Amino acid sequence: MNPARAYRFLIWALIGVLIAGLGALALYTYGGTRLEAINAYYGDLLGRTELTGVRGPHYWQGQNVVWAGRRDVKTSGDFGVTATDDAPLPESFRGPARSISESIWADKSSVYLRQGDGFKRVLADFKCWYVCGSRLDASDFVIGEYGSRIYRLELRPARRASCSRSLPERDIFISPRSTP
Amino acid sequence: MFEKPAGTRHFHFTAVDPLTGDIYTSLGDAHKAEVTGLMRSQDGGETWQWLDKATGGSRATHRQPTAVYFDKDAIYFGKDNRPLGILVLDRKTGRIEQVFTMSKFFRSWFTGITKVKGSFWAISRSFTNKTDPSFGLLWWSGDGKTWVPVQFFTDAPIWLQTGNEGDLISIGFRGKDSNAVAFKVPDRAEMAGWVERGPSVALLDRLLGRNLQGPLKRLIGGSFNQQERAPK
Repeated sequence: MNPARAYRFLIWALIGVLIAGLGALALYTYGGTRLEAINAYYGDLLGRTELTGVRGPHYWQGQNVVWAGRRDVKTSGDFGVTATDDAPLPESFRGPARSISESIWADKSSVYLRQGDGFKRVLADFKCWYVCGSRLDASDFVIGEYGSRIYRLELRPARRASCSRSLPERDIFISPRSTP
Repeated sequence: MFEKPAGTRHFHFTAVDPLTGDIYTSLGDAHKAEVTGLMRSQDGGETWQWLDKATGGSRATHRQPTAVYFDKDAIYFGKDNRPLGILVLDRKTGRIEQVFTMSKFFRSWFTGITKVKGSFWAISRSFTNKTDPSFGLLWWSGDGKTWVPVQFFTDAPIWLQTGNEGDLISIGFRGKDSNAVAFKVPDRAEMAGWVERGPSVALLDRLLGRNLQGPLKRLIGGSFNQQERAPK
């Protein structure tokens, strides 16, 4: 190859690489600027507030947020700045919590029914989807697994007199499997 | 009550429609199972019918939602398979249609959808990858069909709640050390106005469309916690 021609080719190749590099940098910078702008712009409107100490699944009771602490049910009315321990979690509860609601709580491998201040394990070796335990009617729940099974949890009124503090005592009945 | 049908891999969400009492469940995943789709029981779980069923491996026809919101006229589903986005089941026609397709730029799957003060809010999270940091997005829509990202997170948002008697939404994250965050919910009209005037990534989407997950994650890894405010 003619040396002059090779030289020109090399120059053009270098210019091409330079342009491509500058273009990539410009697009990268532009993308970063725009993404940051979105967070800043909507952050002003939405008033993003950190809920101090509130981890994972949680729910609201009026103006209080409820979540699973390490050993206790936690409640806070000031966005987590201060929290009170409502009730102890069961000893078998292995966090972090996977799904919680007023009635149905789940850790990594079990599902619990919360009644008053107490918990009763109703399913073991069961991994909930991230939101499990939908209320089907006044007394029944549907609990879906991130796996192979869906259960119906029926709460049957007990025949004996109640001894619980805030809710009537109920028997828990997991309905048998139906044929798909 | 119900065991996954033959050929399917696992259930995703299971939820009761509060308006009808019907139970809905989703079956995935298309890349690991032959059969995916949506099922419904209208008799408390005794019998189940396929609302949508796809066979034959991973294709665009597969629908395996991971999030659901039951609205009056329609049911909204968020997906975790391509094309990523939002499906709507029209209650009158029974037809399921994908109304929103997420740009590959934001490649993430939906974990929650809700409706507050007349507009829709959803969260999506990045796919699990042990070597890359997680990220997530908060989406807003005025009509359930056109969705825009309004916040980015440096962790994977999983749980979406409405709180404070409908004045705010809160989001819980996958990370053990990540605090939940709360946002005030503007009225639909106010939010629509902000979206109309606000920044957009549409041009960037069109230009770069794909392969930006890495840069996106690097960007949000260091730049997006500056908007957090001290609790009031």
